[in-house]
Amino acid sequence: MEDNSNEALKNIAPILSGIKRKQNFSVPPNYFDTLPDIVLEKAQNQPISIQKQPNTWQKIGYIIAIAASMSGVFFGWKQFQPVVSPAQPLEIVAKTPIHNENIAIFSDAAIYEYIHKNLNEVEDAALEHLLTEDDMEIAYFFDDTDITLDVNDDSL
Amino acid sequence: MSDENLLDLLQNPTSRERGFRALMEQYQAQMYWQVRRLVLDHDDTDDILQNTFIKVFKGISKFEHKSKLSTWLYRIAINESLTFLEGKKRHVAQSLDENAALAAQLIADKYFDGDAIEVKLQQAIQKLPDKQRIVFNMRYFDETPYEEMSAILDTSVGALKASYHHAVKKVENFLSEK
Repeated sequence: MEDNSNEALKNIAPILSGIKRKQNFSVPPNYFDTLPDIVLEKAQNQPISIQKQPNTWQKIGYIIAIAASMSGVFFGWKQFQPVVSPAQPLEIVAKTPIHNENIAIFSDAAIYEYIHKNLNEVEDAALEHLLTEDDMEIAYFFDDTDITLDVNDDSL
Repeated sequence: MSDENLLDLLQNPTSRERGFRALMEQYQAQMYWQVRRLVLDHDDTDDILQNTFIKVFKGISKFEHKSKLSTWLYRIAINESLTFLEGKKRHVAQSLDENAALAAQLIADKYFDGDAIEVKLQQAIQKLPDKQRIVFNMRYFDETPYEEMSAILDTSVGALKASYHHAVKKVENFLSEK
């Protein structure tokens, strides 16, 4: 599939595929040799800011709220879930309301060809929603990885 | 050094500094280039990378092996980069001709040695939305597998493929303009 992807790149983007992929950027001399010392000095001289943990009643409240939300999402999802199978053409799948998971069943080449032929129809917004702001929020990240730091603290 | 060995060193107070130096030596270059392609300027990259590793240093004791160490590091670096880019958009007035400004910046940058087509490629990449730019850079320059990108960006493989291929078309269209 990776070879197909490179071949598709040549067909779809001949100018881009003709540019040699080399490193055009450089760093100051000894940059990577000195960086660990600089970072360690700063890290050891900054206090660790601990985020206040929720108490038991707050935790119970969060659990109830999450359970209620999940129930709503589940029943809503079941109600409107489109039926998609690999047998359906990509044109159909791409137009279904929830298509980010569905697209994964198609090859790179098929997706490439579809976007190439339908570039004007595949608006940025349609793809942008697949990478939502929530995906990348620092707060989400820190919750997800169980780090307890105050991310709003400028000293970090 | 394996991630397990690194974590053993990092989570022991007596070997923490040694472990952190080993971690930086192992990952700092690849993380630097990932950030540099997003923000272009060395000084900005340096700031972001320092902030990233300071957060890693302070948060490593809470790392719970829910992902690979490299995935965790990349996610912090990318979040730091996006925060930086958002702040830059808010505080820097938009140039009337951003393409010309970027070309001038790259040509003047002593740490960039690309020719005319490579400058134009950077212009094309910079015109992509931030998150699509991350996807394009990881896939086009580093050939990062979609599955690994999915873990780092917490986004489905299908969405990443669509985003990358759409970015390729936009870059190609920009390159083909006079």
